[in-house]
Amino acid sequence: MSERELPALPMTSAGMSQDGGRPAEAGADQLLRVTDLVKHYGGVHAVDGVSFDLRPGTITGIIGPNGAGKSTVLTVVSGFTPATSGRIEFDGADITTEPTDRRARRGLVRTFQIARVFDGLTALENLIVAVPQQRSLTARGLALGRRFWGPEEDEIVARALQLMSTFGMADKANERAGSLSGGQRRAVEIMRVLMTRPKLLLVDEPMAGLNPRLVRQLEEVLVGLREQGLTVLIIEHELDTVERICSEVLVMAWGKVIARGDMAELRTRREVQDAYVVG
Amino acid sequence: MTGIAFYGVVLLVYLGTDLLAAWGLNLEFGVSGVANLAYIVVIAAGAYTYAILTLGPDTGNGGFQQYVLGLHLPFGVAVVVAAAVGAVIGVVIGVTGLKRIRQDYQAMVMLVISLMAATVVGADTGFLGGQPGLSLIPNPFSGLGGAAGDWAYVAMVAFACVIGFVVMRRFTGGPMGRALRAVRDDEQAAAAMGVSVVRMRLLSQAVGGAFGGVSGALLAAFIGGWSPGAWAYVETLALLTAIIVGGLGNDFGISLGTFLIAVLLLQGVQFLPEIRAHPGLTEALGWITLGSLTIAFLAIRPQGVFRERRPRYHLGDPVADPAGGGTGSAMTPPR
Repeated sequence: MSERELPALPMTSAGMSQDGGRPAEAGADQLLRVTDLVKHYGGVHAVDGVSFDLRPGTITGIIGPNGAGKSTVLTVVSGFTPATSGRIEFDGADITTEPTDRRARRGLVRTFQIARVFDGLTALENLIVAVPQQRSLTARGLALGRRFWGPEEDEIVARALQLMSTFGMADKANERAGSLSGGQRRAVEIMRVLMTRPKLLLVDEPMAGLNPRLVRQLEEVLVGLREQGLTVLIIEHELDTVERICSEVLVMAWGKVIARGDMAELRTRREVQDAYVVG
Repeated sequence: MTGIAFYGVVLLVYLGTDLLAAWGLNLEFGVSGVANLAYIVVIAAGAYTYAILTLGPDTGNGGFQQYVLGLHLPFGVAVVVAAAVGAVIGVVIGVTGLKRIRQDYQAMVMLVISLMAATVVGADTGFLGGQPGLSLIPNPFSGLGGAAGDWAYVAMVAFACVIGFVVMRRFTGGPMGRALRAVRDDEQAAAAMGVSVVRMRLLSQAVGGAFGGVSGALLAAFIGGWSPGAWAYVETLALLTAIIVGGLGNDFGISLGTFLIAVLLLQGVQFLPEIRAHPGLTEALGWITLGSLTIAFLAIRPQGVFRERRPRYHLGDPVADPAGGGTGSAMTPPR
């Protein structure tokens, strides 16, 4: 795939409408519930009592001025830094104190503001390595070798190659990820996340540094994933993108959620305008 | 046995034990990204463990040396225990140095551990012989006598290397090597994918430590003695240079690097003529060359002589399963 091209995934219908993402199942339980989340760094209150829920099969945006605490929320929810206080529940389980890798194995995964790939591995290996609980990584797998894990490995490789084909990157499969362009690295990161078969995807400013065409294509990818039942929490500065793909938006300022709703409505709210101007 | 033949035996044993150590350190450093500057500690742990498990009580031989335990275990059992102790010490070092510390600081912590360990062991005579160390460590083939015993030892070290290579490939090649390299390249991204970074790193520390333990045991049994002077921290730097020159993460490159650096260079300088005005300079030349090579490779060719190889896959290529389990659906084996 060239940097000018980021194709959308093939869509599968999962009962979703295209008008901003209503929940896949009306009345379904919340996938993520964050309650009174607080994160202090010394005297700095980066996050100060944030609460929100995410319904399955939706894309929710977090917007706000720089320093509002958006990325800190994502960092705490993904487990990269512990919460000072508060509670995080995912898929019915309290994960507040769980380490990052265990949250990921539950299906809560994230991407990074600057795409992070495993430079020394090939693009395809970046995808393969993300598949959780591979037989090859068990004690039996190490002892018995390929006879034990070969069929599973072949299946994973085939799936990864298929995904790379879908993204138009099959020709890059055997290239080291460290040699890929920025757009290609972003695509590899997203494909890698998909290989984990996540339930909730946290994305931090995925459009940063992408040209307008790539932005629209990445939007299509995210909407396509939502239509396949994935839940997405996205931090994004590009408000037009947020308006196009998010069913609900949280506005953060000074470490708090100061407003929530759909983007069109939020644009008219005085406190939101003030936060952007003052914050 | 002629002097040249015996020297050949010595070099082959050094090569074999250095290979085991370099493979172990490569697993930790080249594949898993842990700059373990305390690696010599696990080698020493293996050597001391073998010694105290085979020397018998320290009241023997007139009680001229002191040490703890003092058993008469068979050679094989002692080497296996030495491997286990190396693994445990490797994990302990890993637990101390790995959690939430940046890689450059990890290296510093490891270096300090190495210095502390040598100081403590050297200071306590009753523990492992103190600064004079331990001697009369049994060689399992001493009963054969002369050349037969020496070549039998070489054969045994070669056998250990074959076993070691097979075991190492399980960890550095295939899916496990891939997962360890992912942790090496970006531990946060790996954790975000569900990889348990601490578990993976401690696993590599344990396996690498076991390799070091075996290396130390085989070396001590051959030399017949072991003291803090044998495991100065610079010994780790020699292995690191072999890895950097040969090619980080490339098993075959590491083996070549070990031969070039640990054997050819560090032994070769001993054949240089002594300069009377500067005694010790020729030996120092080996270390100076070693340091210069490290700096040069890191600056000019950080991937080493042989770059780490990665497997190539192609969609829909029906290829033979390397394990003989039929045809693979979509992969070609590593080149």
